[in-house]
Amino acid sequence: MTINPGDNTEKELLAGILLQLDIAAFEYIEGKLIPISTPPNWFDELYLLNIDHQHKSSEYLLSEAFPFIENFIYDAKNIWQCSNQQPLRSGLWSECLDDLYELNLEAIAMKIGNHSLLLIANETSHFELRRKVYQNARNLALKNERLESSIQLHQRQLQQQLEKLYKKDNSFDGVDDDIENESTAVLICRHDGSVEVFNKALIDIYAMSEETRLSEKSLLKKWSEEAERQYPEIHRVLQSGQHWEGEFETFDNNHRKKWVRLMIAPVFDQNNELEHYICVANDISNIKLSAKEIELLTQIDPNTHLPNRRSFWNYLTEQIDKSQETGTSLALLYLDLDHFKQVNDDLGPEQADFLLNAVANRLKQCLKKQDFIAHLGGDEFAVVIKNIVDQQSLSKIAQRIRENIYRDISFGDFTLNVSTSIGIAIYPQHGLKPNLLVKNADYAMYHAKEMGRNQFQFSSPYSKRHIKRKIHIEQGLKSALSNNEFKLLYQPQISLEKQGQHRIEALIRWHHPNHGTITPADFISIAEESGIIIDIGRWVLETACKEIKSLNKKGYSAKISINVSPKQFKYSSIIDEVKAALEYYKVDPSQLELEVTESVFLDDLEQVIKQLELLKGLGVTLALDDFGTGYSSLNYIKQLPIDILKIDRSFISELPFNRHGCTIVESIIAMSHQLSIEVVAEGIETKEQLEYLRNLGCDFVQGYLFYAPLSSEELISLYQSLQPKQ
Amino acid sequence: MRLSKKICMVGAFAVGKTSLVRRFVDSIFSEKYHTTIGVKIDKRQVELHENSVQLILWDIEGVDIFTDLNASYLRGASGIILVIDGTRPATLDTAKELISLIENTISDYRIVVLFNKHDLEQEWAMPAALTDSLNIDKDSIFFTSAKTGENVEEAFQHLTELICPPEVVDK
Ligand SMILES: Nc1nc2c(ncn2[C@@H]2O[C@H](COP(=O)(O)OP(=O)(O)O)[C@@H](O)[C@H]2O)c(=O)[nH]1
Ligand SMILES: [Mg+2]
Repeated sequence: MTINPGDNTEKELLAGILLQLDIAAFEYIEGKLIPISTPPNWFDELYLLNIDHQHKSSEYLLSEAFPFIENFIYDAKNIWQCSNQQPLRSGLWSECLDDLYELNLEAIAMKIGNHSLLLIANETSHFELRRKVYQNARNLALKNERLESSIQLHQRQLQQQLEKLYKKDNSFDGVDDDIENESTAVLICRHDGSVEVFNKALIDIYAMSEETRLSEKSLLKKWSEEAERQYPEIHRVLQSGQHWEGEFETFDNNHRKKWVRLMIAPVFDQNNELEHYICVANDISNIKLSAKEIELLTQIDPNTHLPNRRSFWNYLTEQIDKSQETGTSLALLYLDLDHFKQVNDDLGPEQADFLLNAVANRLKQCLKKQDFIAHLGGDEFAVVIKNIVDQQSLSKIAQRIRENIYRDISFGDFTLNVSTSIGIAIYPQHGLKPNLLVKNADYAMYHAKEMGRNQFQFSSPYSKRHIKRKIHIEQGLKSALSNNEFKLLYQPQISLEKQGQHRIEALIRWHHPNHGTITPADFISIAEESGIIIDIGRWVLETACKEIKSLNKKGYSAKISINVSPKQFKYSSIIDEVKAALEYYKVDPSQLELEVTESVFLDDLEQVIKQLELLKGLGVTLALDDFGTGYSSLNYIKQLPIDILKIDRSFISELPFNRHGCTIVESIIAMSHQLSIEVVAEGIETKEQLEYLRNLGCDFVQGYLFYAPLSSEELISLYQSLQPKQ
Repeated sequence: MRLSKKICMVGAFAVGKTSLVRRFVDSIFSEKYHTTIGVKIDKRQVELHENSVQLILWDIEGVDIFTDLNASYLRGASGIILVIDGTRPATLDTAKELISLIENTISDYRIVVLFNKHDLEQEWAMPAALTDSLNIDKDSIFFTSAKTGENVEEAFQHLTELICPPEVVDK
């Protein structure tokens, strides 16, 4: 990249990028810092606040205004002096705009080509999260430090107290009472290690049983051996009659690992001979454990307190290595909340955090302690379960998770349900490497979403293929329009009553360069999800209008009906678009028909009816597609401003032998006619079907019995054969 | 003409560096621990021999397992305020490590050591033997409290005097 001040559009682009990233950028030229573009407002405000005099030239006296930058420039110069240097970051520093508003900034020095650059980036928005993590970690560390030093203090006091007691009459008689209820473990032994006194706290640490208790003479030896690994000097210290204190790992009688803090004090008799040792010990496993936790804190999500993505990867990699060594398996569950984006938008960030917390807690509740739960970020969670591989047990676990999360979550004044989709992959079946395992669990999760959400799926070749194909389709759709991969086919509808009106339904086809022809069933829902349907809809409208116009030119007056997605009503200005297309192609509005499905009325009935009426006002007609499959009853049709109704093909295929189907079709036609709505039957494949419908007075029929969907050329030759040009 | 001097506040985390700066610059104190990330720079004028010196105070994030002292922040410092929490023996160990880091990084600086939180008598864990173990001139050791203000003004004043010998200020 080069920065070329001569090129205006590039300059604007760069200025835009810098502003979006909230960066003030300067070039260092002959000892001066010249802004590359207008710095963000906060920067100028800050600068003016810190500089004593108004600056006139284009130069910014950053060193004068900001001691922090002044200092950083020294290091920056090292970067600027040679090429091929990595950028240098200053680390964060804070500046106050006023009493309330603190900015968290970082300076970055870099060399690009022969340009020496200094960037001041505003990190304020990312800062709070980091601060929260560090705050938690330091609070915890502080607590541990206090605990540790109070233990240390107590051990010293206790030891002094015991020594004083001994000095009174040169014996430890009667000391029992003093130490029995002491929470710190005490062991007093002779210099050869034989036990004189001990208390219950010692038994507790070492989980000693009744029998072993009195004969337990070797603790001193055991301790010094255990401590020796970290404190090689311990023998020398003890032999020379000095105090020793330290922390080390020890094993109790059940071979459980613990951390103890131990203090050993020699006691001398009247002749100054080393006679006894007073040993004082505390189990500090908890402190050590939480010190480890503190280290992990930077790997913990500050909101849910679950391990984050980074520690998830560490853990998974570690566990897969272990499983490989031991030949065991493990399961990975990948969770994603359903429609979280919507929930997040509706609730706002605080409530969304609350929700994620609730989900985290429920996950913890319904899993075992040894199962690993991570919050990967956003609404994604992962669970690693060791030593369970049979799908049945895993299904049970996944089911439990699903049900638990789906329970009501109370927000005080309202409750909410969130569902999850879960993908499961098992090592080694579904992947030997962490990233493959994660990928396959993710595919399976995606598959669960596909299947309607709020469920789980195991990784399978099918889910993998299926999802891969879907992702291909999704990506392919993005370029399909510009690559001209769509085509409209035209299927004529035959009038059973009136003669002469050509009606055609336009059907879209997609010729994918790798997957061949893809039918609408396979891509429309994906296009709707991604919003591309709006552009596709626009293309269909224009292509159909073009076709009408070209047919008109050839002397055939046909009415083409096009399918319109509910999304087009919701997210585009469909009315303006239809109007513009009609005008542009000079098409008579009565030659265009829009087909909508019942689902369009699910959203906001009144709003949609209004839109439909405006469309009718343009002169186009409206058809209701797939009638009978959805939600609406015939009664409800009365409210809708439609001209024509299409009976769904599923009813037609059963005619005339299915009594139930016949009744429905009969009443649809009768009722529609009463409402002056015409009826089209689609999917006609047999003569019997045709005769049956003709007898019921159906207005139009469409299907392979007459014509398959035709290309534009085929359509024209058809018309030519039917009705030679006048 | 104005003289200005850079002073760095260093020490383990939560020993009271930020609180000492707040006490010295704004005369306020808060019990709440709000950990510092990165660097925050404050300024205060100090009167000395009928002249004024501007102190530029660098409050640097405390040292702990996540953060080492970024040595480049020390560049150009005339004074170092090394803070120890008198209730936490471990912060003395950190202080000793910092002293050797500072010695190896800059020269021509003066240092004062503050045993802070001196108001917390009950929890005080710093016997004289320990405070003496630092190789620091006794005059430059202060027992301070950001909470009560004890010795805060004195410590800063003392450091200012150390870094601005009379002949420098007079000129
Ligand atoms: N009692 C008491 N608390 C103090 C004193 N100085 C600081 N603190 C508290 O110690 C904690 C850490 O202080 P802070 O200034 O943030 O430490 P820093 O990390 O070194 O900047 C805060 O809760 C302060 O309120 C003091 O002199 N006395
Ligand atoms: Mg601080």
